[in-house]
Amino acid sequence: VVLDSSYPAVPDGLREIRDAVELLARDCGLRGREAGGMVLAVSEAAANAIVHGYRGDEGVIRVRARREDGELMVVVADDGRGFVPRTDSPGLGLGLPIIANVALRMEVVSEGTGTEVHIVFPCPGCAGEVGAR
Amino acid sequence: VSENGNSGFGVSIRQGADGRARLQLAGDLDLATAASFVNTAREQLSKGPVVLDLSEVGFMDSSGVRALDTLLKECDRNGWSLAVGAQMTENVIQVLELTGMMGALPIEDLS
Repeated sequence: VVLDSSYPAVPDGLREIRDAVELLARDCGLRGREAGGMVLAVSEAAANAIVHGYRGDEGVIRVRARREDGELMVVVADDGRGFVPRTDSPGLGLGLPIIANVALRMEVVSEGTGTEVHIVFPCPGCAGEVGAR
Repeated sequence: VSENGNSGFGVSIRQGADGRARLQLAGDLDLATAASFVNTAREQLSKGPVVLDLSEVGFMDSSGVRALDTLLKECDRNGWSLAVGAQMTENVIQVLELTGMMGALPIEDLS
């Protein structure tokens, strides 16, 4: 595990999450758009937790990351209302498509309350660390 | 100049020689800052033509894209004039291209 941190689920907290992910991207050997894509995707997942998960309520966003077999798996988790459609959504529905576009794979896991977004990125910097965690 | 949030975001406004208000954005345009940016830009657009300079925006997420989309639609509805400077950081270009917004912006070379 290369990151396991919790952040307040507020818009002003997104920058701190992005700063942490930017370091992860560098450690993975990513540069340019690949690094920018990782930061953008995780920020979008965290913003979704604030807007859709907690909807203005207080809460915590947990970001975990582990490296394995040349890939980095980042999990953005909240304890909010779960992954349900929001008819009064303030967005354009761009967040998840952005994540899907820049990631190798993504999965949204939500069973009742809380949502986890699992996002997998390439990690050329750990390609030699078979099974590294 | 208006500033807010931990994102280091701010907007400075100056009147250009061409009579248009030039809004220089700096910092991160995200969920924390997009709404106040829209309010600032809307206020200026209601007074006259506006040019947005995004060259110092280090990060933009889908909230920033949504903000630009909102302003474009309001310009259409109200007959306001908006241009966006062509010079942008790689992060901003990336999200605008990923969302298809780049092609919708009235891009103008400000140099």
